[in-house]
Amino acid sequence: MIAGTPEQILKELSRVWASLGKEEGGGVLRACTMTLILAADVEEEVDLGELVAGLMHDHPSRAIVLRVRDGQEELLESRVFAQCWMPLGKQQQLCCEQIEITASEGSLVDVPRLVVGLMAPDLPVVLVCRTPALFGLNDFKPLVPIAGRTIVDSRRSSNPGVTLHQLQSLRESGHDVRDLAWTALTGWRQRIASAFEPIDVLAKIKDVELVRIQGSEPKMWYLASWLRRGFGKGVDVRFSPGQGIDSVEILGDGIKLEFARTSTCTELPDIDLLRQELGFTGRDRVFEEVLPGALELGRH
Amino acid sequence: MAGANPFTDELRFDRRVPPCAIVIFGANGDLTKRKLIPSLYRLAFERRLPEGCVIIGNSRTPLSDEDYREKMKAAVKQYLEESPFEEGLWETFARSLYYVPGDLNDVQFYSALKEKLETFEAQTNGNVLYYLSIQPSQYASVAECLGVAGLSQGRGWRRLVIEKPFGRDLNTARELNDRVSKVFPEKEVYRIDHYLGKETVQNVLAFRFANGIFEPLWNRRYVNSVQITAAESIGVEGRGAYYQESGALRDMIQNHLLQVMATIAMEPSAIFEPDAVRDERAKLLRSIRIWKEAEVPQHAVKGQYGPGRVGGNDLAGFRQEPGVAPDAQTDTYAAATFYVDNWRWAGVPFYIRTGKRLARRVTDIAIRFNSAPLSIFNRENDGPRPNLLVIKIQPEEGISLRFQSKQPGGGMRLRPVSMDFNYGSSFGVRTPTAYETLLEDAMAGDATLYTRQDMVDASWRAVEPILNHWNSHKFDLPNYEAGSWGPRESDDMLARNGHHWRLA
Repeated sequence: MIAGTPEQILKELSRVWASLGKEEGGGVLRACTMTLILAADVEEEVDLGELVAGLMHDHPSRAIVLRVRDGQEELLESRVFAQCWMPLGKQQQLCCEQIEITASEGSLVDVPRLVVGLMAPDLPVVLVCRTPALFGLNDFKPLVPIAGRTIVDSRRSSNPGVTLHQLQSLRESGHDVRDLAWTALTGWRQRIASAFEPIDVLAKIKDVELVRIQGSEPKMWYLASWLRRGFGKGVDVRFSPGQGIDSVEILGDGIKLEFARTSTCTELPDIDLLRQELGFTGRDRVFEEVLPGALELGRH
Repeated sequence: MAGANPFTDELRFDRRVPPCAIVIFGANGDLTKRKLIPSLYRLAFERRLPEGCVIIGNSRTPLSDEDYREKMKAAVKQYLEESPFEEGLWETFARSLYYVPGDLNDVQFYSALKEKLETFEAQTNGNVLYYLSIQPSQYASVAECLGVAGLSQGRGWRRLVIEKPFGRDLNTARELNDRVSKVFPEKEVYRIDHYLGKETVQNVLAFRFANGIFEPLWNRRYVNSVQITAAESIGVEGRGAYYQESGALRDMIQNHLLQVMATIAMEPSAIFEPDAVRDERAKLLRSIRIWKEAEVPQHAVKGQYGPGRVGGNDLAGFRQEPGVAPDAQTDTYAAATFYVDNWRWAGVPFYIRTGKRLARRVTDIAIRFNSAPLSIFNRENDGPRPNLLVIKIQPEEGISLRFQSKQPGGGMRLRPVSMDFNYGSSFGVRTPTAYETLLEDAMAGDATLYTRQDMVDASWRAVEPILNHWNSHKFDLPNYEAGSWGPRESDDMLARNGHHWRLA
């Protein structure tokens, strides 16, 4: 463990690179396309290391892993290491750097300043918050404006309505926010969108009166809000409990479409959802339009 | 009337590739084994091959579906690049692989093919992609036979993919086009140029048109010259008989390298859509100055490798290769200077060279900028070195910029240094091969990276005087040693303009 100033941590990083250079005869290639901050509390951090290692292959980054501990005692520790792998068919290892910061809630106030000093210059900064409850901590909030984009997973929230409200507040204050619950719906949405490709089905959009979704919160709120965006707000939406999204029915005068879960809309593992999300550049206007509607549906 | 689909999401939804039947003529050939089937397998691996797709191979060799699957399995295992082979996936993929043996001149074969295609029509919606991986001399007749058999039209779309060469010269290219276009409309003809499918070549467009700092410099005021090199260290590798009839100018410059040049020099299109991009490429190719035959010796160099010694091994000369005539006049090396007669590029030479058995395998594009107008450092020496932007296509993939920097220590001594972008280190993921990109594009109906007939015409017009001159004169060949950087005359061609090859 090393002490927590940016200079000390970066010096340690330089030492890691220098030793890697010696070990491998200078044969490693240092790769970095963004600063990726991954934050989680003790319950959600179990597979964090694996997640980071998996993400590096597609999105080589300077990863800053923030582990938040309960309690007010002073705790701010860090350690650095490199994640290296040999791409298939290549002869040179690719390496990314990882900085792990462990902080108690009481020391969280010092983390944003530390992170600012550790960001890879001139590259995008993405904050992935595995524990939505961290947004409830005042000392965590300053991390959001540091990042150009914040990715949350409201499926992991004990109160998804509150998480959506937090996301909406961030969006309204100009932040680029994303939710993996929304990312997980892409397969479903693509399937439903394809059903409206034939002109005769497309012409029936105005006749849709009712949407029935069997699933769980918050995914069904998002899906319903997205469907209302296409059909119009007057469409009646009814939910029944299920797991993720189990089925969707679209009903109206002369139209009846039923969708059950298939392999194309099976929920992807978190790492694949994050991979996808990190691959999109620019604002997600559809999500931003859908979010307020989802929040409203969640309130009812 | 219905409007646009309100549920589309361009940011997140995959491009929709409709299911289709892919018919490969020449299904036992080298290209199919090395590139086509491995690329289709890789698309399946990435779930980019739509459900319902079937692949039907054809060649004269009598084989069962099972035999064919076994052969292709061996090929995929051998030639799959930077990807793992998965037995389970192969089993699924192989179930969509079929084989219809038959002679391409035999009417009965087309009836059998028609019957086979009809059995899959429900799952492919009648969409068929015909891939001609056969002798170029058969392209037109196969297209005509498909027309006669009623296979060029049907319930879904029917597309024809043609491999280069598109003709042997301008006349034969036009004749081929006339015959093919009687059966398939131009928008359904996909002339494949795999160089355009390479990620690094596509990245040239992103580099030029998505960055504000380079495009203002991308013209005759700042660019001194452009060099495009496609060098191979290998020889003809058993293809001597074929290569003898083709040569480096036809095999590489007329198609691949002039397309690369067009990508480097074209104007930006208003939108990134197939015809808009191809219009700009075509316009650029039409602006290439056509040499008079008498001017050819000044602006083009023909070469052929003789025996040499590399790494302690003796290498045969081209004329000693199997299947090659002892007095062959074939160009295994070709270099040419082209000028683009438009306002952006007037007076800027584009040097293109390609060859076999050169010093090493490298394909790159080097843009040399004008030197600083006044040398205030190193006055006593040879003046400032020009900035150089190198777009590396293979084997390394990336971009590097050379500029001057002060050497540490006293005084003001300068040294060129290089700032490098390496594709692999910025994008950890594997880049798709050119054939994966191009096959998927053809299935999706995106012809942006395919060559249009007017582009083929324009590139033949640019090289035809060179071909005519070379065909009507006898050259003293061989004129370069295997393992060297080519004939001395090529260096002289650049020296006449005060330039030199960057790698020489």
